[in-house]
Amino acid sequence: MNKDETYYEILRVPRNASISEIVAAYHSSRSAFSKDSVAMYSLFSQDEADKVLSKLEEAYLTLSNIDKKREYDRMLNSGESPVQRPAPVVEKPRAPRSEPLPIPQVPLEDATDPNLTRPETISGALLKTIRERRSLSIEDVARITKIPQRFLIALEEENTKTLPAKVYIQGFVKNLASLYKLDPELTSRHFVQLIDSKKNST
Amino acid sequence: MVWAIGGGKGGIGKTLLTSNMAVYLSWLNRQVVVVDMDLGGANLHTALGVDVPSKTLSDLISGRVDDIKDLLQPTHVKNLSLISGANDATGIANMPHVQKTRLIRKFREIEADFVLLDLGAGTTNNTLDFFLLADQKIVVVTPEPTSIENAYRFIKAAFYRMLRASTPSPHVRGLIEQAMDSKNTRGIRSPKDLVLEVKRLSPDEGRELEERMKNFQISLIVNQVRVKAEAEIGKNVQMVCQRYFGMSIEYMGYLPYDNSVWQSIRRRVPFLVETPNSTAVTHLEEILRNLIKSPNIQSAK
Repeated sequence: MNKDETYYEILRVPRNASISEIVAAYHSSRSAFSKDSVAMYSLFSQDEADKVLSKLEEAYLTLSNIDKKREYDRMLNSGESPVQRPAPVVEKPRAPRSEPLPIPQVPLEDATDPNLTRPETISGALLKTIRERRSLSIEDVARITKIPQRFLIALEEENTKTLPAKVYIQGFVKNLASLYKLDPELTSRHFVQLIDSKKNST
Repeated sequence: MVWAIGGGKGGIGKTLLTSNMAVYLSWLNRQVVVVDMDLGGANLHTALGVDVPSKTLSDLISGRVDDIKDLLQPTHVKNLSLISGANDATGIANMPHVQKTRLIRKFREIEADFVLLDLGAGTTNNTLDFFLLADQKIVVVTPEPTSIENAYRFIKAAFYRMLRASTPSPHVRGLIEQAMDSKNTRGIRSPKDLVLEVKRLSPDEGRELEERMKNFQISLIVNQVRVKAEAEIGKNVQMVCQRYFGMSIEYMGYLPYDNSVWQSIRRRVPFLVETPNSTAVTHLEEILRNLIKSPNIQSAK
């Protein structure tokens, strides 16, 4: 990986990527370079893979944090050479909002185990990851759950503009949670909270 | 439309995949020809349950046969014919490049909708050249490290061969040749190192090289997936290749390991015909859908 690569290039996401796209890209790339990944056998040594992983993590920690991302974007736009470790951003006091998406503590391979997927970590990206790990396309899920595709996409993207009223989101997420073997009640409650706080902060 | 199926390692299911993809395409009422380019291990006729054709590619190359259509052997499947590789290994093995391009042109002249080339195992120059000349370049892997290792060897070889062939500048070509030798003294250990070296020589040519690397397109199929986690391998290989080669591999899908496939092999019947309702069939459909609509298809040369 070049020293000149931006965090967006490291994660292979476009500049206008949403936070959920960034999270999803990070998790996919991370699994490709993880210790047990047979996909890197004979092309990358473990040392080289570790370097890739640490660059990925650095990129993710910045871009998944709204304040750090903003600062990083400002540096990129102003043509400053983006320091790979940006100076700490002074947190301004603000109204309570949802925390930036944490690095999930659970191995996502086990994301479908209701005992391991903590509902409070639910996010659009996690919904997408679970769906993909089950080899389901959006069309498949739409067919099974009868949720319109545009809302499935909006849920995964946490797209507050396209999502319908709260009562529908609740119903949809309960439906999805059942399909993905998560706790329907808790998952939908936390997801609605997530969307609410996103709406309040914009 | 010529599709080439390779991957380096033997025994991972290239022939089976080629023959069954061909059968499925024939069922869609397309005219399909499968060509067995695997000199040392020609099995395509066995997979399809037909005899070795009396006339093979060596007859065409030697001039004993003029028209490639004379090599076509019908199979038990309507719309599907077979062309077999040479009976004598030297026939195709020492083909000059101009003859290879001529042969590919003849494949296209057959008036089939699809010509599928089973390249067999290995990374000989012949295998690589036919792979590079195809419209759709398909690599098959299984989740084992041995298969992955061979596939990367194959992809590396094809990649550098493509780069060298398309580079006019002798200096850059020299650097590429050094890169092909993993023990080169210049310290070029990866395509990224190569690009840096070329940029040092000439930034423009370096950028041009990067562009050609980016445009090199391969399709990937993962065969014999046994556990759910292995289904991720396709996407992971895609990501690893993107970072290592700077090129894009398109992941077409996977086929689950199916315990009943060995029975169809024993009976010399394609598994699509033997067990049309198996899960393998659904996966094959998905793979073919992706292959057909893929942007990887390069224009005919």
